Amino acid sequence: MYYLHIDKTLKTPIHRQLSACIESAILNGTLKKGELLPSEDQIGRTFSVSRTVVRRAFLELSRFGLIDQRQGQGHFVKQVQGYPDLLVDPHSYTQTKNESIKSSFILKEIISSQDELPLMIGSFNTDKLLRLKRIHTSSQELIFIDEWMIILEGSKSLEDEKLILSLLDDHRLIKESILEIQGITIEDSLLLSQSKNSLIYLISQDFHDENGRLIAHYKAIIPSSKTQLSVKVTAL
Amino acid sequence: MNYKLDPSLSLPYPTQLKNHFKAAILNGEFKDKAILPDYEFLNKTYGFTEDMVRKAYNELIREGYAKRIKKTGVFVHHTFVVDHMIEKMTPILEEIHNQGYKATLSDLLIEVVKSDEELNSRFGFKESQDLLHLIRLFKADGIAVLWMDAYYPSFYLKQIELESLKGMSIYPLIKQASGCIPTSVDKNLSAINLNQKQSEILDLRKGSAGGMITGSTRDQNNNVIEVFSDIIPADRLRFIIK
Repeated sequence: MYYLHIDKTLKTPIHRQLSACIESAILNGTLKKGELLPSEDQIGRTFSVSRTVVRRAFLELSRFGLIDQRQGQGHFVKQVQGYPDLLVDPHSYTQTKNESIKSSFILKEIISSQDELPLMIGSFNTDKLLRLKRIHTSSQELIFIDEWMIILEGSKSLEDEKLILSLLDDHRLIKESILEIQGITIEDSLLLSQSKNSLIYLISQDFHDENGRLIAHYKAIIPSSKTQLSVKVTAL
Repeated sequence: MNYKLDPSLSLPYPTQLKNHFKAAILNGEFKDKAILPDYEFLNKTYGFTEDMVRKAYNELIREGYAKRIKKTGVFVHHTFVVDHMIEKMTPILEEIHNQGYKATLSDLLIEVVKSDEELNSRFGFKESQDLLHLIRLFKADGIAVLWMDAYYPSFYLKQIELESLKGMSIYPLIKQASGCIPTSVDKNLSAINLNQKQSEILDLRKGSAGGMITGSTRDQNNNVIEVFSDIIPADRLRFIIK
Protein backbone atom coordinates (compact mmCIF):
# COMPACT_ATOMS: atom_id res chain seq x y z
CA MET A 1 0.00 0.00 0.00
CA TYR A 2 3.06 2.23 -0.23
CA TYR A 3 1.58 3.98 -3.26
CA LEU A 4 -1.24 5.44 -1.16
CA HIS A 5 -0.81 8.84 0.44
CA ILE A 6 -3.45 10.76 2.35
CA ASP A 7 -3.07 14.28 3.59
CA LYS A 8 -6.01 15.28 5.77
CA THR A 9 -4.92 18.92 5.87
CA LEU A 10 -5.58 19.31 2.14
CA LYS A 11 -8.86 20.65 0.86
CA THR A 12 -9.08 17.84 -1.71
CA PRO A 13 -11.64 15.25 -0.54
CA ILE A 14 -10.01 12.09 0.81
CA HIS A 15 -11.82 9.80 -1.63
CA ARG A 16 -10.43 11.91 -4.48
CA GLN A 17 -6.91 11.66 -3.01
CA LEU A 18 -7.24 7.89 -2.72
CA SER A 19 -8.59 7.40 -6.22
CA ALA A 20 -5.87 9.66 -7.67
CA CYS A 21 -3.14 7.62 -5.93
CA ILE A 22 -4.55 4.33 -7.19
CA GLU A 23 -5.13 5.74 -10.65
CA SER A 24 -1.56 6.94 -11.06
CA ALA A 25 -0.26 3.64 -9.62
CA ILE A 26 -2.24 1.78 -12.29
CA LEU A 27 -1.19 4.10 -15.08
CA ASN A 28 2.52 4.10 -14.24
CA GLY A 29 2.58 0.36 -13.87
CA THR A 30 3.09 0.01 -10.12
CA LEU A 31 -0.18 -1.92 -10.04
CA LYS A 32 -0.31 -4.63 -12.66
CA LYS A 33 -3.27 -5.98 -14.61
CA GLY A 34 -5.45 -8.32 -12.59
CA GLU A 35 -3.78 -7.40 -9.29
CA LEU A 36 -5.95 -7.45 -6.18
CA LEU A 37 -6.28 -4.09 -4.48
CA PRO A 38 -6.24 -3.85 -0.67
CA SER A 39 -9.69 -4.26 0.85
CA GLU A 40 -11.84 -1.31 1.92
CA ASP A 41 -11.43 -2.33 5.52
CA GLN A 42 -7.64 -2.59 5.26
CA ILE A 43 -7.27 0.88 3.74
CA GLY A 44 -9.77 2.34 6.20
CA ARG A 45 -7.86 0.99 9.20
CA THR A 46 -4.40 1.93 7.92
CA PHE A 47 -5.27 5.56 7.32
CA SER A 48 -8.06 5.79 9.93
CA VAL A 49 -10.69 6.88 7.44
CA SER A 50 -14.19 5.48 7.15
CA ARG A 51 -15.11 2.66 4.80
CA THR A 52 -17.61 4.90 3.04
CA VAL A 53 -14.78 7.15 1.88
CA VAL A 54 -12.79 4.21 0.54
CA ARG A 55 -15.87 2.78 -1.12
CA ARG A 56 -16.48 6.10 -2.84
CA ALA A 57 -12.90 6.10 -4.17
CA PHE A 58 -13.35 2.59 -5.57
CA LEU A 59 -16.68 3.56 -7.10
CA GLU A 60 -15.02 6.46 -8.87
CA LEU A 61 -12.27 4.22 -10.23
CA SER A 62 -14.71 1.61 -11.52
CA ARG A 63 -16.66 4.36 -13.23
CA PHE A 64 -13.50 5.35 -15.09
CA GLY A 65 -13.10 1.71 -16.09
CA LEU A 66 -9.82 1.21 -14.25
CA ILE A 67 -10.89 -1.45 -11.76
CA ASP A 68 -13.30 -4.35 -11.57
CA GLN A 69 -15.43 -5.22 -8.57
CA ARG A 70 -15.99 -8.93 -8.03
CA GLN A 71 -18.53 -9.89 -5.42
CA GLY A 72 -17.04 -11.72 -2.47
CA GLN A 73 -13.50 -11.32 -3.81
CA GLY A 74 -12.59 -7.64 -3.88
CA HIS A 75 -11.39 -5.04 -6.34
CA PHE A 76 -9.05 -5.94 -9.19
CA VAL A 77 -7.06 -3.83 -11.60
CA LYS A 78 -8.85 -4.06 -14.92
CA GLN A 79 -7.10 -5.06 -18.10
CA VAL A 80 -6.14 -1.85 -19.80
CA GLN A 81 -5.99 -2.43 -23.51
CA GLY A 82 -2.95 -0.75 -25.02
CA TYR A 83 -2.47 0.51 -28.56
CA PRO A 84 1.25 1.28 -28.87
CA ASP A 85 0.96 2.07 -32.59
CA LEU A 86 -1.20 5.07 -31.80
CA LEU A 87 1.80 7.06 -30.71
CA VAL A 88 3.63 6.61 -33.97
CA ASP A 89 0.91 7.58 -36.43
CA PRO A 90 -2.65 7.93 -35.17
CA HIS A 91 -3.80 9.13 -38.56
CA SER A 92 -2.89 6.02 -40.53
CA TYR A 93 -3.95 3.81 -37.64
CA THR A 94 -7.64 4.35 -38.31
CA GLN A 95 -7.29 3.55 -41.97
CA THR A 96 -5.06 0.49 -42.11
CA LYS A 97 -4.12 -1.13 -38.82
CA ASN A 98 -7.47 -2.07 -37.46
CA GLU A 99 -10.65 -2.19 -39.49
CA SER A 100 -12.90 -2.51 -36.51
CA ILE A 101 -12.19 1.06 -35.44
CA LYS A 102 -14.98 3.44 -36.37
CA SER A 103 -14.53 7.15 -36.82
CA SER A 104 -17.25 9.75 -36.65
CA PHE A 105 -17.37 13.52 -36.74
CA ILE A 106 -18.60 15.30 -33.65
CA LEU A 107 -17.79 18.87 -34.51
CA LYS A 108 -17.59 20.94 -37.66
CA GLU A 109 -17.21 24.67 -37.43
CA ILE A 110 -15.60 27.62 -39.11
CA ILE A 111 -13.51 29.77 -36.83
CA SER A 112 -11.72 32.98 -37.50
CA SER A 113 -7.96 33.03 -37.08
CA GLN A 114 -8.34 35.93 -34.67
CA ASP A 115 -9.10 33.30 -32.05
CA GLU A 116 -6.26 32.10 -29.90
CA LEU A 117 -5.97 28.61 -31.39
CA PRO A 118 -4.19 29.49 -34.63
CA LEU A 119 -1.62 31.41 -32.63
CA MET A 120 -0.49 28.14 -31.15
CA ILE A 121 0.05 26.61 -34.57
CA GLY A 122 1.93 29.36 -36.29
CA SER A 123 1.14 32.30 -38.45
CA PHE A 124 -1.73 31.79 -40.84
CA ASN A 125 -2.24 34.31 -43.57
CA THR A 126 -5.94 33.71 -43.79
CA ASP A 127 -8.88 34.70 -41.70
CA LYS A 128 -10.95 31.53 -41.94
CA LEU A 129 -10.24 28.07 -40.58
CA LEU A 130 -12.30 24.92 -40.71
CA ARG A 131 -12.19 22.95 -37.49
CA LEU A 132 -13.16 19.28 -37.53
CA LYS A 133 -13.23 16.97 -34.55
CA ARG A 134 -13.54 13.19 -34.78
CA ILE A 135 -13.89 10.39 -32.27
CA HIS A 136 -12.54 6.89 -32.86
CA THR A 137 -14.21 3.95 -31.21
CA SER A 138 -13.57 0.23 -31.16
CA SER A 139 -16.28 -2.13 -29.86
CA GLN A 140 -17.99 0.62 -27.84
CA GLU A 141 -14.74 1.76 -26.27
CA LEU A 142 -13.54 5.22 -27.13
CA ILE A 143 -9.90 5.12 -28.10
CA PHE A 144 -8.92 8.61 -29.09
CA ILE A 145 -10.05 11.99 -30.40
CA ASP A 146 -8.46 13.93 -33.19
CA GLU A 147 -8.88 17.39 -34.54
CA TRP A 148 -8.18 19.03 -37.90
CA MET A 149 -7.61 22.71 -38.50
CA ILE A 150 -7.77 23.41 -42.22
CA ILE A 151 -7.16 26.71 -43.97
CA LEU A 152 -10.16 27.61 -46.05
CA GLU A 153 -9.44 29.18 -49.38
CA GLY A 154 -12.17 30.57 -51.58
CA SER A 155 -14.75 28.03 -52.60
CA LYS A 156 -14.24 25.29 -50.02
CA SER A 157 -17.12 25.08 -47.59
CA LEU A 158 -18.30 22.96 -44.70
CA GLU A 159 -19.81 20.31 -46.96
CA ASP A 160 -16.50 19.60 -48.61
CA GLU A 161 -14.79 18.09 -45.61
CA LYS A 162 -14.50 14.65 -47.22
CA LEU A 163 -12.95 16.22 -50.25
CA ILE A 164 -10.60 18.22 -48.09
CA LEU A 165 -9.51 15.19 -46.11
CA SER A 166 -8.85 13.18 -49.27
CA LEU A 167 -6.87 16.10 -50.63
CA LEU A 168 -4.76 16.07 -47.50
CA ASP A 169 -4.13 12.35 -47.89
CA ASP A 170 -2.87 12.86 -51.44
CA HIS A 171 -0.72 15.88 -50.93
CA ARG A 172 0.49 15.64 -47.43
CA LEU A 173 4.14 16.27 -46.89
CA ILE A 174 4.72 15.89 -43.22
CA LYS A 175 8.14 16.75 -41.98
CA GLU A 176 7.64 15.58 -38.45
CA SER A 177 5.08 15.13 -35.75
CA ILE A 178 5.48 16.21 -32.17
CA LEU A 179 4.41 14.25 -29.12
CA GLU A 180 3.75 15.97 -25.82
CA ILE A 181 2.28 15.01 -22.47
CA GLN A 182 -0.49 17.25 -21.17
CA GLY A 183 -3.30 17.34 -18.67
CA ILE A 184 -6.69 16.60 -20.17
CA THR A 185 -9.19 19.42 -20.76
CA ILE A 186 -12.60 19.12 -19.13
CA GLU A 187 -14.33 18.85 -22.49
CA ASP A 188 -12.10 15.99 -23.62
CA SER A 189 -12.29 14.22 -20.25
CA LEU A 190 -16.06 13.99 -20.67
CA LEU A 191 -15.74 12.73 -24.24
CA LEU A 192 -13.14 10.11 -23.39
CA SER A 193 -14.74 9.25 -20.02
CA GLN A 194 -11.44 9.80 -18.22
CA SER A 195 -11.05 11.42 -14.84
CA LYS A 196 -10.40 15.15 -14.72
CA ASN A 197 -6.80 14.80 -13.61
CA SER A 198 -5.75 12.12 -16.06
CA LEU A 199 -3.13 12.76 -18.69
CA ILE A 200 -3.07 12.64 -22.46
CA TYR A 201 -0.51 12.24 -25.20
CA LEU A 202 -0.92 15.03 -27.71
CA ILE A 203 0.41 14.36 -31.18
CA SER A 204 0.49 17.28 -33.56
CA GLN A 205 1.39 17.39 -37.23
CA ASP A 206 1.63 20.19 -39.76
CA PHE A 207 0.58 19.64 -43.36
CA HIS A 208 2.27 21.60 -46.11
CA ASP A 209 1.63 21.79 -49.83
CA GLU A 210 4.26 21.44 -52.57
CA ASN A 211 5.35 25.05 -52.15
CA GLY A 212 5.91 24.59 -48.43
CA ARG A 213 2.84 26.58 -47.41
CA LEU A 214 1.01 25.44 -44.33
CA ILE A 215 -2.41 24.08 -45.31
CA ALA A 216 -3.57 22.28 -42.21
CA HIS A 217 -2.78 21.33 -38.65
CA TYR A 218 -3.69 17.99 -37.14
CA LYS A 219 -3.70 16.87 -33.55
CA ALA A 220 -4.62 13.62 -31.87
CA ILE A 221 -5.56 13.30 -28.22
CA ILE A 222 -4.81 9.88 -26.79
CA PRO A 223 -5.45 9.02 -23.13
CA SER A 224 -2.21 7.94 -21.46
CA SER A 225 -3.89 4.77 -20.18
CA LYS A 226 -4.36 3.52 -23.73
CA THR A 227 -0.78 3.39 -24.82
CA GLN A 228 2.83 3.37 -23.73
CA LEU A 229 6.04 3.83 -25.58
CA SER A 230 8.93 1.46 -25.03
CA VAL A 231 12.24 1.20 -26.78
CA LYS A 232 15.21 -1.13 -26.45
CA VAL A 233 18.59 0.39 -27.18
CA THR A 234 21.82 -1.52 -27.65
CA ALA A 235 25.21 0.11 -27.83
CA LEU A 236 27.23 -0.63 -30.93
CA MET B 1 21.01 43.79 -26.81
CA ASN B 2 21.71 44.19 -30.47
CA TYR B 3 19.19 42.93 -32.95
CA LYS B 4 20.65 43.76 -36.32
CA LEU B 5 18.69 42.57 -39.30
CA ASP B 6 20.62 41.98 -42.50
CA PRO B 7 18.68 42.68 -45.73
CA SER B 8 21.36 41.00 -47.83
CA LEU B 9 20.58 37.60 -46.28
CA SER B 10 17.96 35.38 -47.90
CA LEU B 11 16.54 34.61 -44.44
CA PRO B 12 13.21 36.34 -43.73
CA TYR B 13 13.35 39.03 -41.02
CA PRO B 14 11.23 37.10 -38.48
CA THR B 15 13.61 34.15 -38.74
CA GLN B 16 16.63 36.42 -38.31
CA LEU B 17 15.02 37.96 -35.25
CA LYS B 18 14.22 34.51 -33.90
CA ASN B 19 17.87 33.51 -34.32
CA HIS B 20 18.95 36.53 -32.25
CA PHE B 21 16.59 35.55 -29.44
CA LYS B 22 17.63 31.90 -29.66
CA ALA B 23 21.31 32.85 -29.35
CA ALA B 24 20.54 35.11 -26.38
CA ILE B 25 18.64 32.30 -24.66
CA LEU B 26 21.36 29.74 -25.29
CA ASN B 27 24.21 31.94 -24.04
CA GLY B 28 22.30 32.76 -20.87
CA GLU B 29 21.41 36.39 -21.56
CA PHE B 30 17.78 35.42 -21.02
CA LYS B 31 17.43 33.00 -18.11
CA ASP B 32 14.80 30.29 -17.86
CA LYS B 33 11.30 31.70 -17.10
CA ALA B 34 12.45 35.23 -17.93
CA ILE B 35 9.96 37.34 -19.84
CA LEU B 36 10.89 38.34 -23.39
CA PRO B 37 10.51 42.00 -24.47
CA ASP B 38 6.99 42.97 -25.48
CA TYR B 39 5.84 44.22 -28.88
CA GLU B 40 5.58 47.84 -27.84
CA PHE B 41 9.12 47.99 -26.45
CA LEU B 42 10.64 46.37 -29.54
CA ASN B 43 8.62 48.65 -31.78
CA LYS B 44 9.68 51.83 -29.99
CA THR B 45 13.33 50.86 -29.55
CA TYR B 46 14.12 49.04 -32.78
CA GLY B 47 11.17 49.86 -35.03
CA PHE B 48 10.15 46.22 -35.53
CA THR B 49 6.52 45.76 -36.46
CA GLU B 50 4.25 43.79 -34.16
CA ASP B 51 3.52 41.25 -36.89
CA MET B 52 7.20 40.54 -37.40
CA VAL B 53 7.90 40.07 -33.68
CA ARG B 54 4.82 37.88 -33.36
CA LYS B 55 6.09 35.66 -36.16
CA ALA B 56 9.55 35.48 -34.59
CA TYR B 57 8.06 34.54 -31.20
CA ASN B 58 5.79 31.94 -32.79
CA GLU B 59 8.82 30.30 -34.39
CA LEU B 60 10.64 30.41 -31.06
CA ILE B 61 7.67 28.76 -29.36
CA ARG B 62 7.42 26.06 -31.99
CA GLU B 63 11.09 25.23 -31.60
CA GLY B 64 10.60 24.77 -27.87
CA TYR B 65 12.60 27.72 -26.53
CA ALA B 66 9.69 29.81 -25.29
CA LYS B 67 6.14 29.55 -24.06
CA ARG B 68 3.25 31.97 -24.39
CA ILE B 69 1.09 32.64 -21.38
CA LYS B 70 -2.20 34.19 -22.35
CA LYS B 71 -2.49 37.93 -21.68
CA THR B 72 0.87 37.91 -19.88
CA GLY B 73 3.65 37.57 -22.38
CA VAL B 74 6.18 35.24 -23.90
CA PHE B 75 8.57 33.51 -21.50
CA VAL B 76 11.79 31.60 -21.95
CA HIS B 77 11.00 27.93 -21.51
CA HIS B 78 13.31 25.12 -22.51
CA THR B 79 11.81 21.89 -23.72
CA PHE B 80 13.91 18.80 -24.15
CA VAL B 81 13.59 16.67 -27.25
CA VAL B 82 12.89 13.23 -25.88
CA ASP B 83 13.29 11.13 -28.99
CA HIS B 84 17.06 11.58 -28.78
CA MET B 85 16.98 10.52 -25.17
CA ILE B 86 14.84 7.50 -25.70
CA GLU B 87 16.56 6.17 -28.79
CA LYS B 88 20.11 6.50 -27.56
CA MET B 89 22.24 4.88 -24.90
CA THR B 90 23.27 8.25 -23.50
CA PRO B 91 21.65 9.04 -20.18
CA ILE B 92 19.00 11.73 -20.26
CA LEU B 93 21.19 14.25 -18.47
CA GLU B 94 23.93 14.15 -21.08
CA GLU B 95 21.29 14.61 -23.77
CA ILE B 96 19.97 17.69 -22.00
CA HIS B 97 23.50 19.08 -21.93
CA ASN B 98 23.96 18.22 -25.60
CA GLN B 99 20.83 20.23 -26.39
CA GLY B 100 22.54 23.33 -25.05
CA TYR B 101 20.98 23.44 -21.60
CA LYS B 102 23.03 23.70 -18.44
CA ALA B 103 21.51 21.70 -15.61
CA THR B 104 23.59 21.19 -12.48
CA LEU B 105 23.31 18.83 -9.54
CA SER B 106 21.53 20.54 -6.66
CA ASP B 107 20.50 17.76 -4.29
CA LEU B 108 21.90 14.33 -3.73
CA LEU B 109 20.70 11.48 -1.55
CA ILE B 110 22.54 8.22 -1.16
CA GLU B 111 21.26 5.35 0.92
CA VAL B 112 21.73 1.63 1.14
CA VAL B 113 18.45 -0.26 1.03
CA LYS B 114 17.38 -3.89 1.05
CA SER B 115 15.71 -4.81 -2.23
CA ASP B 116 12.00 -5.57 -2.08
CA GLU B 117 10.14 -8.07 -4.25
CA GLU B 118 9.70 -5.72 -7.17
CA LEU B 119 13.37 -4.75 -7.28
CA ASN B 120 14.41 -8.40 -6.90
CA SER B 121 12.43 -9.31 -9.98
CA ARG B 122 13.80 -6.39 -11.98
CA PHE B 123 17.40 -7.19 -11.05
CA GLY B 124 16.85 -10.94 -11.32
CA PHE B 125 17.85 -11.58 -7.68
CA LYS B 126 16.63 -14.72 -5.95
CA GLU B 127 16.76 -13.16 -2.49
CA SER B 128 16.90 -9.73 -1.00
CA GLN B 129 20.23 -7.95 -1.41
CA ASP B 130 21.82 -4.65 -0.55
CA LEU B 131 21.17 -1.98 -3.12
CA LEU B 132 22.54 1.46 -3.49
CA HIS B 133 19.72 3.97 -3.89
CA LEU B 134 20.73 7.20 -5.51
CA ILE B 135 18.43 10.19 -5.91
CA ARG B 136 19.71 13.19 -7.79
CA LEU B 137 17.93 16.46 -8.48
CA PHE B 138 19.13 18.77 -11.22
CA LYS B 139 18.35 22.44 -11.42
CA ALA B 140 18.97 25.08 -14.03
CA ASP B 141 18.70 28.76 -13.16
CA GLY B 142 17.24 27.68 -9.82
CA ILE B 143 14.39 25.72 -11.41
CA ALA B 144 14.13 21.97 -10.96
CA VAL B 145 14.18 20.28 -14.36
CA LEU B 146 15.09 16.66 -13.75
CA TRP B 147 14.82 14.12 -11.01
CA MET B 148 16.83 10.94 -11.34
CA ASP B 149 16.05 8.00 -9.11
CA ALA B 150 18.19 4.91 -9.55
CA TYR B 151 19.19 1.66 -7.88
CA TYR B 152 22.53 -0.12 -8.27
CA PRO B 153 23.72 -3.42 -6.83
CA SER B 154 26.01 -2.30 -4.01
CA PHE B 155 28.78 -4.74 -4.88
CA TYR B 156 29.39 -2.86 -8.12
CA LEU B 157 30.06 0.36 -6.31
CA LYS B 158 31.90 -0.46 -3.14
CA GLN B 159 34.00 2.62 -3.05
CA ILE B 160 32.10 5.67 -4.10
CA GLU B 161 33.66 9.01 -3.97
CA LEU B 162 30.98 11.55 -3.35
CA GLU B 163 32.87 14.12 -5.34
CA SER B 164 32.87 12.02 -8.46
CA LEU B 165 29.07 11.78 -8.40
CA LYS B 166 28.83 15.43 -9.25
CA GLY B 167 29.96 14.52 -12.73
CA MET B 168 27.38 13.75 -15.33
CA SER B 169 27.35 10.03 -15.77
CA ILE B 170 27.68 7.18 -13.34
CA TYR B 171 28.61 4.66 -16.04
CA PRO B 172 32.36 5.43 -15.94
CA LEU B 173 32.26 4.86 -12.17
CA ILE B 174 30.64 1.47 -12.59
CA LYS B 175 33.18 0.58 -15.22
CA GLN B 176 36.04 1.62 -12.97
CA ALA B 177 34.73 -0.19 -9.91
CA SER B 178 33.65 -3.46 -11.47
CA GLY B 179 34.67 -3.67 -15.12
CA CYS B 180 31.03 -3.86 -16.23
CA ILE B 181 30.34 -2.02 -19.47
CA PRO B 182 26.75 -0.85 -20.02
CA THR B 183 25.71 -2.32 -23.35
CA SER B 184 21.95 -2.27 -23.63
CA VAL B 185 19.04 -0.47 -22.08
CA ASP B 186 15.25 -0.85 -22.09
CA LYS B 187 13.48 2.48 -21.90
CA ASN B 188 9.85 3.18 -21.35
CA LEU B 189 8.18 6.56 -21.60
CA SER B 190 4.98 7.06 -19.65
CA ALA B 191 2.82 9.93 -18.52
CA ILE B 192 2.31 10.26 -14.77
CA ASN B 193 0.52 12.50 -12.32
CA LEU B 194 3.18 13.63 -9.87
CA ASN B 195 2.55 12.30 -6.38
CA GLN B 196 3.09 14.22 -3.15
CA LYS B 197 6.81 13.47 -2.88
CA GLN B 198 7.62 14.00 -6.55
CA SER B 199 5.74 17.29 -6.72
CA GLU B 200 7.43 18.63 -3.59
CA ILE B 201 10.86 17.83 -4.96
CA LEU B 202 10.18 19.28 -8.41
CA ASP B 203 8.40 22.27 -6.83
CA LEU B 204 5.16 21.78 -8.76
CA ARG B 205 1.57 21.31 -7.74
CA LYS B 206 0.55 17.80 -6.74
CA GLY B 207 -1.03 15.90 -9.60
CA SER B 208 0.57 17.99 -12.31
CA ALA B 209 1.69 16.21 -15.43
CA GLY B 210 5.09 14.63 -15.64
CA GLY B 211 6.97 12.46 -18.08
CA MET B 212 8.68 9.43 -16.64
CA ILE B 213 11.37 7.46 -18.41
CA THR B 214 11.86 4.17 -16.64
CA GLY B 215 14.18 1.41 -17.60
CA SER B 216 17.02 -0.92 -16.81
CA THR B 217 20.57 -1.09 -18.06
CA ARG B 218 22.43 -4.33 -18.73
CA ASP B 219 26.14 -5.00 -19.00
CA GLN B 220 28.04 -7.15 -21.48
CA ASN B 221 27.13 -10.33 -19.53
CA ASN B 222 23.43 -9.41 -19.64
CA ASN B 223 23.31 -8.69 -15.90
CA VAL B 224 21.15 -5.79 -14.79
CA ILE B 225 23.44 -3.10 -13.39
CA GLU B 226 20.97 -0.25 -13.05
CA VAL B 227 17.24 0.26 -12.56
CA PHE B 228 16.23 3.86 -13.05
CA SER B 229 13.35 6.25 -13.35
CA ASP B 230 13.88 9.80 -14.54
CA ILE B 231 11.12 12.34 -14.07
CA ILE B 232 10.80 15.59 -16.01
CA PRO B 233 7.93 18.10 -15.82
CA ALA B 234 5.71 17.30 -18.81
CA ASP B 235 5.79 20.79 -20.28
CA ARG B 236 9.51 20.40 -20.88
CA LEU B 237 9.20 17.24 -22.93
CA ARG B 238 8.76 16.97 -26.67
CA PHE B 239 8.95 13.88 -28.78
CA ILE B 240 9.62 14.37 -32.46
CA ILE B 241 8.58 11.51 -34.70
CA LYS B 242 10.16 11.74 -38.12
